[in-house]
Amino acid sequence: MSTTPSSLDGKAQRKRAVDFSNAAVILAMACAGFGYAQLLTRLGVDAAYLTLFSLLLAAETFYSFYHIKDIDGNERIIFRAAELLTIPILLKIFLLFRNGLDQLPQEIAAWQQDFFGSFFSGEYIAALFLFVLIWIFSTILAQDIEILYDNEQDAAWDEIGKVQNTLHLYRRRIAANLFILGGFVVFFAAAARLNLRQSVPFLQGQFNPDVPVFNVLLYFILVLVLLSQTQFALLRARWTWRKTPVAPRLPRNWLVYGLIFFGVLALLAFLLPTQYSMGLFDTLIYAINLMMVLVRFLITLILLPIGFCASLFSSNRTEELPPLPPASPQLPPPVGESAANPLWQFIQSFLFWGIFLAVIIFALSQYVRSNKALLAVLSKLSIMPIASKFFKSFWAWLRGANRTLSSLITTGIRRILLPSSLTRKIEKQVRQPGGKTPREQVMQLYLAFLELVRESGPAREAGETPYHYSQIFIADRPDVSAELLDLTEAFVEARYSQHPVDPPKVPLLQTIWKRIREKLKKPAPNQDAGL
Amino acid sequence: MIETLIGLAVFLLFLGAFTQETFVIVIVYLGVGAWLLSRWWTGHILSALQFSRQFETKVFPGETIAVKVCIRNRSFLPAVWLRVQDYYPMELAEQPQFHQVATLGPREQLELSYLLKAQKRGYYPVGPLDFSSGDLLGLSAEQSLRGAVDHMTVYPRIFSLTNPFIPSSSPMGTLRHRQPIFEDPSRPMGKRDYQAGDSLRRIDWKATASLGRLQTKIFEPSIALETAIFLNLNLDEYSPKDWTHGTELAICAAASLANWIISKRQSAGLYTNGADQLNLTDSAAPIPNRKGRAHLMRILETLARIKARQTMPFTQYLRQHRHGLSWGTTLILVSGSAGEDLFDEIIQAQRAGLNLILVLCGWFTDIHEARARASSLGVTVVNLLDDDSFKIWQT
Repeated sequence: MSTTPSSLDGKAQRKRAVDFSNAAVILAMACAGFGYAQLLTRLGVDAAYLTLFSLLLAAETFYSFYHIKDIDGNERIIFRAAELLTIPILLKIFLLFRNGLDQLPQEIAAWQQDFFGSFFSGEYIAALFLFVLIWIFSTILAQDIEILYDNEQDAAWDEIGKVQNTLHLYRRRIAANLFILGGFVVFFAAAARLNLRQSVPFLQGQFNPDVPVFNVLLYFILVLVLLSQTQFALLRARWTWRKTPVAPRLPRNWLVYGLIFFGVLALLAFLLPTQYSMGLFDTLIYAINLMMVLVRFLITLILLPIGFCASLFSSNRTEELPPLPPASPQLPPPVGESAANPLWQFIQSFLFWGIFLAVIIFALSQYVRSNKALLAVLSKLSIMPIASKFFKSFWAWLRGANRTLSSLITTGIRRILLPSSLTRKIEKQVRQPGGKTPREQVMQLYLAFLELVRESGPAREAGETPYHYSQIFIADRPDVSAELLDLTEAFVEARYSQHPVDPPKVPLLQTIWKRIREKLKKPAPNQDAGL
Repeated sequence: MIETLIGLAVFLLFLGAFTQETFVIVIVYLGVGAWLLSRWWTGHILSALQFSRQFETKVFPGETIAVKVCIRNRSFLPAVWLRVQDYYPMELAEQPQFHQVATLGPREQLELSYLLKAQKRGYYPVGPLDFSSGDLLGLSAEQSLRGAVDHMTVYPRIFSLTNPFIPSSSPMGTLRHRQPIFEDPSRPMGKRDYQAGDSLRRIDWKATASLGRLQTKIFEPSIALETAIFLNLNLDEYSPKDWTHGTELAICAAASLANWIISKRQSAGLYTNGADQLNLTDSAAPIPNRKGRAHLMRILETLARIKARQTMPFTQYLRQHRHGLSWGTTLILVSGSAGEDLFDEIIQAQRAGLNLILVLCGWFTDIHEARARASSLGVTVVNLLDDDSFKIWQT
């Protein structure tokens, strides 16, 4: 098949492109209106008419833009003023007629009593908000689209660099406006589906998670189609400047293939699983909360010295300490169970996260690859060596802290383990006297006690008498005072008396010894508490 | 644009996180999918392209050549836009450049064409064929694909010669000659009455019986022309202000002479110290004496590719290659000048039984002296100053 090359038939093709772009914007505005209508319906207002209203308003805005293009300054202002007055009035009349003609006398009577209160009803103000939104965005987009295609013609005689810069600027403006409006559309849809029953009591019973969101998808498809047309305008300008012949069927193919491509893409996006994004959202929330905790912690750290200084001037010292920052939020709960096969769920989840991470890594690598110059500039900045030094110092500190912590933990474990092994040894000696006399057994029990408390303290110093040591120990551990005094008495008797030790005393002392051991395992009771 | 998309994706993710609405993920899918698929699509289309360039690769100066570029999209995806550009030197340009933006449907084939004009002798690269394409949204940089380079040979101009008066000492050839010493017994021309001294072997007995008196056969004299053209393309032996014109004229003369000789069914060879564009480091390979059209085309192709340069002196080249030539061969020396050393070499060649013609091309100051010197040696000198000078061989 042969294609006869021909130069672009500028005017006709540009007109078609402008008409198509305008139609796409008008449809996109209708999508925005539909989303807003759904939101108002959620709030109990019957606002289905707003979709058609948005469509007509956007069409009117585009018509007005082209109509007043050739009108001089004053006339243009008058036209705009008339437009801005007429449309709200028409909207009000429509609302009045919609409520019924029998309501009209009452309405007019209400105006006489409180004009602003009754004329600007809630529904009317809500519709006016959409009117302002649609009117502003339609006007800006109509202007930008017109300038974009108008500037394209300059490529035939002007510098290509200048023309391309202008075209890029307007393309970015169109994209930014469409995406801002897209943010509104998504917000409307999300708000219409949001479960606010707990937060907003008057919405009780109006929660509907099945509010349609096809308008959001349609809006973004239209945005992509529109942006592809602006990209075509950019390329067409370059080809015009280079005097490159263009296949006559290219504009049609561009549009058709673009529609097919974005349609298929939308279908794919619609069919791909989204339920696993709940895990993603929870993780995001968790990350945000964690960041908030960190920020609050840092603020607390900064304010702590100030607070401490301020507390010095405070008269009431018994004031309660400020509450501790809340504990870190709990880890996100696992994704809700479903009746599906767990293996399939795992595969789907794996696919979702795999694709998600792959896209992020790919995007980052692409960004780095396409911004090598930016990275080079950043690496030359004076802040970079400082940041690098800081990072290295921080890393060294972390490693040092890790080492210190490890040694502390190891020492602690050793400390914990040592008494326990000692305890086992002592217990063994106590349980198995091995043919010792009752006197020796009593003395052994006391010595075992001394051995037990040697590490945890306070240890008996050389030259301290048993009674003196018992007083010191009881001051530290009053909870074992009775048992310790009994044991000390028994030891002194066994060690220094001449009379034989009564054998039944040994099991009694063993019981005391066990009690002491159990009590020493627990931390010492707070002595202040008793004060 | 990509920054705006990333910003929107982040906004949507946070909105989704706060509202727990999964439909925003569909929008994120849409944006990310548009970006990824666009990149993949462009690369896929370029890798699925099959293309070829068709044109007459060997042409004569002045001819217009149609170049046909066939492009086939082997993919089931369309190539929405494809910029095709082909490169060629100015010496072949019928139009300043060839570039076009095409569109190809799935598995569609497309033929583009443009014209080249062979304006000057040479061996020219045509291509590479360059394809570039991009995505519908302009989210990624354009990707390109380069094809191979083809070559076009433009033969040198050939002047139609009538009689270049090339001497020969080889009897009994196919060329008629005026000297009766070269009578060819295979070419009887007529009869005459017997004269005393005629060889008995030349008596035509049938005619003698018919006429009743002795008749002797008359034979047409003929020669066999075996020619070696020695083409000097050492720039140092041409006038500096005439380097381009003089060397081109010399190449034209060599081509025209070879054409005339081979058209007369004689053998011709080509020896030159110029550089072949296929092998620029060394002199072009000598083409020994042969007959036939194929041989002529071989000589013309070499002459099309040949380039003048500063290289070994012509006399040295001549000395190296004349020893391989058979006795009686005619040497046509095509050069830009003729110095004493060249005449010394001519004398040596004459002693070796070779016949010589000296063709001096371009502007040469000492032409009279050269003519006088050549005349004393019995060598014909032809001076070609421009295209009109070829008329000397066209009368």
